[in-house]
Amino acid sequence: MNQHTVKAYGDELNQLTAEVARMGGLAEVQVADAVESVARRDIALARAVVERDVKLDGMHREIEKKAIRLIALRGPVASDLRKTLSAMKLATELERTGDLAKNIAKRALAVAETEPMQPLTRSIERMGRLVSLRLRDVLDAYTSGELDGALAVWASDDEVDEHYNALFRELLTYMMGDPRTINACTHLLFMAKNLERIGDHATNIAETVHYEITGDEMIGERPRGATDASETGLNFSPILPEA
Amino acid sequence: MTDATHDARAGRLQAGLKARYAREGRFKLYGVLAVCIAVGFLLLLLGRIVTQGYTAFYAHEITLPVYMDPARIDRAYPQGTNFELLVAEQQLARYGIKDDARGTRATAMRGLFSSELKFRAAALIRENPALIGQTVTIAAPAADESDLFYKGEISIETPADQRRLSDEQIGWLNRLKADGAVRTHFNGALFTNGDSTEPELAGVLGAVIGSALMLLVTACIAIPIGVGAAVYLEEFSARNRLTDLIEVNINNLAAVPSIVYGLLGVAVFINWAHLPRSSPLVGGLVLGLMALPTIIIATRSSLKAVPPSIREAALAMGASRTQTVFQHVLPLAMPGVMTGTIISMAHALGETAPLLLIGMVSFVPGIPHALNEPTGALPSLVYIWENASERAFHERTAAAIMVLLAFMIVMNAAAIVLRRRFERRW
Amino acid sequence: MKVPFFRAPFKAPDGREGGPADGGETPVSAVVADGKRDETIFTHEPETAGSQVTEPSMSRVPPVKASTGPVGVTKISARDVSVFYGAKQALFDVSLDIPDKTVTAFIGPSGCGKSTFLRTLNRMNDTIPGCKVTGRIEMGGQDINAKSVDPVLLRAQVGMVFQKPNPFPKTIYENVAYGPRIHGLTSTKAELDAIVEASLKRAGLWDEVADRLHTAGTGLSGGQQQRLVIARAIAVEPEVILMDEPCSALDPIATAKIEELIDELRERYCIVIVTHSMAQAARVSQRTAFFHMGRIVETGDTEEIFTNPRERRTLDYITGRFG
Repeated sequence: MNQHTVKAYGDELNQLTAEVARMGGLAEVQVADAVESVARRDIALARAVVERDVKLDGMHREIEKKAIRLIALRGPVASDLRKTLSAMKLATELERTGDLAKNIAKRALAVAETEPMQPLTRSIERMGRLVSLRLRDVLDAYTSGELDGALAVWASDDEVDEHYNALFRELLTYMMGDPRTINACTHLLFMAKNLERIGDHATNIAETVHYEITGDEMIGERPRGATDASETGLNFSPILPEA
Repeated sequence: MTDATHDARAGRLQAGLKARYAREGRFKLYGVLAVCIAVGFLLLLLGRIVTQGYTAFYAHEITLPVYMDPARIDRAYPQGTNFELLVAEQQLARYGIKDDARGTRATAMRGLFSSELKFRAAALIRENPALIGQTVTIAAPAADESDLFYKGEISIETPADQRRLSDEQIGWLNRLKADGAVRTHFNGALFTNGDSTEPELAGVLGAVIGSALMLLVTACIAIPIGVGAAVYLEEFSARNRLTDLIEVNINNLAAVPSIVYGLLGVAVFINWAHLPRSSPLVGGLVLGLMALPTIIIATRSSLKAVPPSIREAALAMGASRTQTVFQHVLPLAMPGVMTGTIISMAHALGETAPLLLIGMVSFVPGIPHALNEPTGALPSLVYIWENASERAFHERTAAAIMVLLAFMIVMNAAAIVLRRRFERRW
Repeated sequence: MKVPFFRAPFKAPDGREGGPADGGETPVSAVVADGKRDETIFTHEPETAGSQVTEPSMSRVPPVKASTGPVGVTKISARDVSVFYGAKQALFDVSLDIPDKTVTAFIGPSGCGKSTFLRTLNRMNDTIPGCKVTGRIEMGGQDINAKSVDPVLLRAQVGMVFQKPNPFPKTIYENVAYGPRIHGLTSTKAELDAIVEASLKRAGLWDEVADRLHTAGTGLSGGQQQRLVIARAIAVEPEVILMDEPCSALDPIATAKIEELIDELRERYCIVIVTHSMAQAARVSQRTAFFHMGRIVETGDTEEIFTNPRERRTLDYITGRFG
């Protein structure tokens, strides 16, 4: 596509997407660091994640301001309009992602004071890595304008759900086996929920990227896991440890 | 709108259409008719003039052998010899006609040839005195009536009181023609000679040069003053009651009858300033004054036609008022100014009334050389020739009119060509 | 806490031509594939163009230039300017500061006096008989309406571009050379040639007309003619360029080209533009003044005027609620 005749206009649009990419990068870092702080029981790292969340909020406000300015002054249409609106949407999604990462980190602080539970934290780590990867892929798709990447992320939403279901079962088993771990496991459960929410945000971002590139809404249901995760627990018959 | 009203409306439109087209057709017809009438009259006028005047462009020449009788020619003073009588008597002798005691026949024969004959003969002798005693062939123009006879204007049938040629003279003319002594040639004398009382020798050159000199003076006066005044009034002066008054007066001056300018010329230039009467100087001054209002009006309207965006662009660049006018406005207005100037010059060329008053009706032979010598002008020449008694001036008047018209056509054509060449799009 | 994670968006770097002056490239993830962390994103790094961080997937951020600059020092300062056409008053006590190296836009409905005020800035109203200007307009510390100021010299410093392109009916070369010639800015032909070439280049017209400099200026298209007129105006190196609805006679592509040109020109000149199109004022200017019935209603940064104006009338006009 040709450049805008008025170069400043093109520059402003590029700046906006660059800001969003930067914010995305920071969100990725937050998620990765939060998960790592859980895995390694790193209190300092967790604290750093909590403090850095302010920056994400700041970036969100900046991007919104920039987008409003662009709409007011440049009157964008067609692809430029979709770009601007997508940037605003993405900023919102990434800010929520950052908040979720902050919550994970806060809970990590709490979990770090309890006994280490290696298998569980490892599962969290695995889920966290998957979610981070999806986030990275969808943000790559955003900056490169590649539709396939976004579609791949959108289609693999069920993977995260499966991880969540597995973790849910694991944690329930643990909690039922040893009631002393309920405190820590509840934190871990919330962390898993947050990670699942982050996965959903990544899917939302994928839908927005699709809209920005094609101009069409994404049709069709999101692929889900075999059953809804929240229902699983009711039908579940636990394997109780030998008393 | 329902279908019914729609159809009714369409019907009304349709009905009115026929009447409108009919009206337009009639209007076009009137226009074509008007043009045809105008062109018709023009063709009529031109046709009359051309048919009357074309005969002036050729003349007859009679060639005769002349014996330079040494007894009658004074070697030292050849022009004192009465060559005309000499030739006439020799010709009579050649035809074997006896003359009476008073020599009336010789006089009659002499009247067939132009007085130019004696000048040519004298010139020959002066150049080559050795010709005395020999027979020389001299060609001289036929006299005006002889010329007219050969052209068929006069014949033996013409009643005797309407021609100067007697029957006997006509017989001689026929014999000369039968002898092959008569030759037709282009009447160059019309364009190379000045005015003369003898029609066969009369030419327009003096008047043409006089008119040209006068136009020169007119142009030198009217163009700078006219264009300058117009530029000042249009571009520089303030718009107030005084300038409005001036504008009204200039417009009125353009409509003043030209004879009033002639009176002005007499009163101011001749009586008060004591400038030489009938000179191109005075004529040019008078005509210049007459052309001035026209030039001012034409220049002003050309200047007005230059779009203000050009002026604004120049001013915004930092050009001063004068620079804007002379570097931008005036060049763009040039085509209109030139057209107006040339047309007013052409107009001045043809003005007769003021010239009559300042004295250009007098007979002025020869070619003028200076601005303060009395000269003739083409329009007054036409007037003089028209009033002359010789019949031969009839055709020459028409010829002079044709020359004058040719001048006007050339000047107007020049105006159009120059306008086309210099017209710039903006 | 000010974290130097990204640069302030409104910093105006020097040298906007050429590469990214604000070094917009920043790595986006601290976690690289082998688990090592890259702390560099958290530090203030003066990036140079082309410097990437580790993996290609990290370098998502394309280099961009900063798009807006700060509003500069005041170039023209008007105080209580009123304009009378005979007995009729067209402007009522207009006071306004126009900053340098910025585009200031005048907007307002028809007949509100914005063109009139524009024309007072180069004393073009002097050419209208019966026009009287009161008040003080200061440029370079001097009142331009003072008797000691020659309007001819003023107009060499303040150029003007009109609504309908009006090149002189001369060659392209002659059009651009006219100003330097009458003001005596050059002494040799070579200098004049250089000025003509530089002006045409700066106006973005050189590539299109370099091979036909001696053909008529009126043979160009509308957009090209307007750029020619701009080249003519900048040939005398003015300090201020006034534009009276320069794009209203042009099609959208030509308009976009002129707007880009204005964006480039504002680095060197103070530009004041009168426009009917609010969208154009929004796109092109950094400062906007809203005129209504001969008075200034509101002045401010363009972004503020178009997102959140202070005055009700401004809001009504901008949102199309007028009348």
